Amino acid sequence: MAAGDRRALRSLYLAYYPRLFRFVLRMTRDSGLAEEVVNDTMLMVWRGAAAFRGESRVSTWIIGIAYRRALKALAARKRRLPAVGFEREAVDGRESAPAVDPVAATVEVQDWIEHALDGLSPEHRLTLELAYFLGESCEEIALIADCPVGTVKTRLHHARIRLQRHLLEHATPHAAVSGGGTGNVTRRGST
Amino acid sequence: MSETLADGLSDAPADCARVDAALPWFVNGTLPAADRAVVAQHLERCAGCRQRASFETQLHDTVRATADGAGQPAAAEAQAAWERFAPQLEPAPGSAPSVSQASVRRSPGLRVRRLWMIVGAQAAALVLIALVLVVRETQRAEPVYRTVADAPRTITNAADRVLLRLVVAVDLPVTEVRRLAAEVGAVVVEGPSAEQVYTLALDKDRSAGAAMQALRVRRGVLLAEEVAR
Repeated sequence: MAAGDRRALRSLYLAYYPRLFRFVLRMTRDSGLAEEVVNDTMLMVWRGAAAFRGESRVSTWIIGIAYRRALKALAARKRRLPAVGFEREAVDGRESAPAVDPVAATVEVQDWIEHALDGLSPEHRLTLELAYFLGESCEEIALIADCPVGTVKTRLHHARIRLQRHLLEHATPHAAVSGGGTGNVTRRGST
Repeated sequence: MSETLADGLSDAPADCARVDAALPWFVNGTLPAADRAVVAQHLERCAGCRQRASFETQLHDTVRATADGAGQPAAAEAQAAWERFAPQLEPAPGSAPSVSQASVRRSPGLRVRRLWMIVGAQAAALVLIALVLVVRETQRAEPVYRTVADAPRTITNAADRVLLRLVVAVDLPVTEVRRLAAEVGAVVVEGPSAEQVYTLALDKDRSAGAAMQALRVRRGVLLAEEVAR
């Protein structure tokens, strides 16, 4: 590809597009913007292929570009749109919490977690998504985000603390982290 | 994890904190094998860490659920995205895209961004033009040097009267200047300026010389002279 081989780029694009698109889409929830970020990323890969020295894995390099493009896109969107945070969860306010249907509870906690993730800062959210969605190691995330390993640990620590705190504030008392692996977490006030 | 856990862990709170920090990598499978075994052993003994690991697993599974589930773009979608993307490519890496290539099919986001770039460029041009006009206007309006004896440009109702220029001390109030003017048969028609300069219009039957003499001896009057016509 460094020699300008479009077929090589096409193979790379088709191989990475699904993963990068979903990675960015999870944070933007905007397919147009996600595709734009992926295309910007691949354009930079195309232009920078000759300069790539192989000091990291190709995937780390590509995801690192996508990480920076996604951060930039999120920052630009934040300037245009009002912030979406944890507060939107609190409006779902009915008092009683009836008996928990395990399947419904699992779906609901997934819904809760997804919304809670939206309340994280872009850096915290991206770090968590790199670890859990893309399954990157701590060291790889440090390379992707171009920051020290300690920063990765700190960001992830704060992201998890915030999610757990939100869970404790908005979930029923028997649920949350006291579930002992059962996964029965329900939102306070949910039906 | 560069900091190994393989040295061994106890049930002390400090060790629980180390295990907690390792949980994301334990859950996503990237923790080195030696550390993984140590964490697993600790989890068997520590109920608190097990609970946290449970939450972490749930968090991981929730995030991963969309990786292989609904919303995943099929190969056909990736192919379609490629076809939208390919026209943007330059002939070879390192060169800018030609207009003809770049104007072929684009993703909606790129079109919007390009539109914003055009709008931004137009706005920048307008700002530049406005700046040039302001600078030119500023240069045109630059003050010319004038002495206090020069005729004021703004007085229109005293064309046929003798004008006096009066410079007073900064602490002399306007009311006092008006009173002084009235004493010599004049009225204030301009001022005070930032330098405490006033212009007085003298009554037709009054002598300019006598009025200036009277004013010059008053406290607070620094200068009194006739305005050159």
